Amino acid sequence: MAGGGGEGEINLVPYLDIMINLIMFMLTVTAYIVDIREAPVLVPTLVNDPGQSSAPPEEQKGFLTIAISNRAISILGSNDQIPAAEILKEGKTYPFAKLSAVLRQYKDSPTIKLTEAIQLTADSSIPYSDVISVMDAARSDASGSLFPGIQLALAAR
Amino acid sequence: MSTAPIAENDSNADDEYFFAKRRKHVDGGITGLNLTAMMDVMTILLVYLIKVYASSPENITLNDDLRPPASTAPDNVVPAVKVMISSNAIIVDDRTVLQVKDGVVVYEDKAQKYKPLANALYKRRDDIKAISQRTGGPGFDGILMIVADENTSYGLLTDVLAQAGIAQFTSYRLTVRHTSK
Repeated sequence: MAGGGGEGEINLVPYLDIMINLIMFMLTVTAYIVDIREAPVLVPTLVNDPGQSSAPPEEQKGFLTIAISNRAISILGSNDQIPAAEILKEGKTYPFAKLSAVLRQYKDSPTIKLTEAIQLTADSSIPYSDVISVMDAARSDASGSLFPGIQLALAAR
Repeated sequence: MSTAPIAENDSNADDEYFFAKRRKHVDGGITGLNLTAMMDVMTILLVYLIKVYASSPENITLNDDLRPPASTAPDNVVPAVKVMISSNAIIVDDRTVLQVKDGVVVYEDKAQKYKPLANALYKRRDDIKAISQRTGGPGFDGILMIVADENTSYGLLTDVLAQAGIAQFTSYRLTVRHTSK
């Protein structure tokens, strides 16, 4: 085409420049993409309470409430048969591994009947990251699932 | 007088070099790079990267003010109405509805503290219902995606959830940065 000779070639260099720039841009952007996931939470309702109050008394299971304060993580039972526990804060962080170990004892106890749902509450000043870490510790440990159904309760003020 | 012959000599030397190169090409040497294979590779790479970029269900822009906490939560992100709680604002579907300062919502009238948030959520709910009525879509499912900064206080988080509950959003999904244990 060039000069009517039929030997003309399309100049690919500008096209390649654009492609290289685009690829470099996209590789840079994807390097900063964070793997985002979701943690589903429930809210306590009167109809679907974790203690299953509609079931016959002998089949009724108790449930745990985890309360996070600035001093410790407290575990409370919904009835007198479930012993309470407290895990003190160690320095500036909570011992989440200890929390999982204690919850595993509750879960594996032959004498305590518990639902798979727990309630979680915290002081209003507790950071969201600590709440999520407690949820992770309560959801599962190295041995398997613990209490996957987590109901968020209002903050203690 | 002496400059002209030197210039002529230089010019002849350049021509000789050029023609020598031309001869070499005509004789079967390297005449040019074949860019077709390189273009194929680049086009495939570009298409792959665009596909990866576009397949992300939610485009969440993270920065220093909005850094979700790390978690082992396994669930994938489901598209839903999005409320973002950063360190300086509460944003509903990319529109700032409340300002936050030092972890507390900035307000003029305490009784109306969360009204802009509630109004925005009501509007989103009504829009979704109207669209699903017109198009015969799946309808309003009440799912709310919360993207909150890791330093957000639990009090502020539950206040936002309480407003969402009033606006009939009943299923909450907390967005986290995935990490292995």
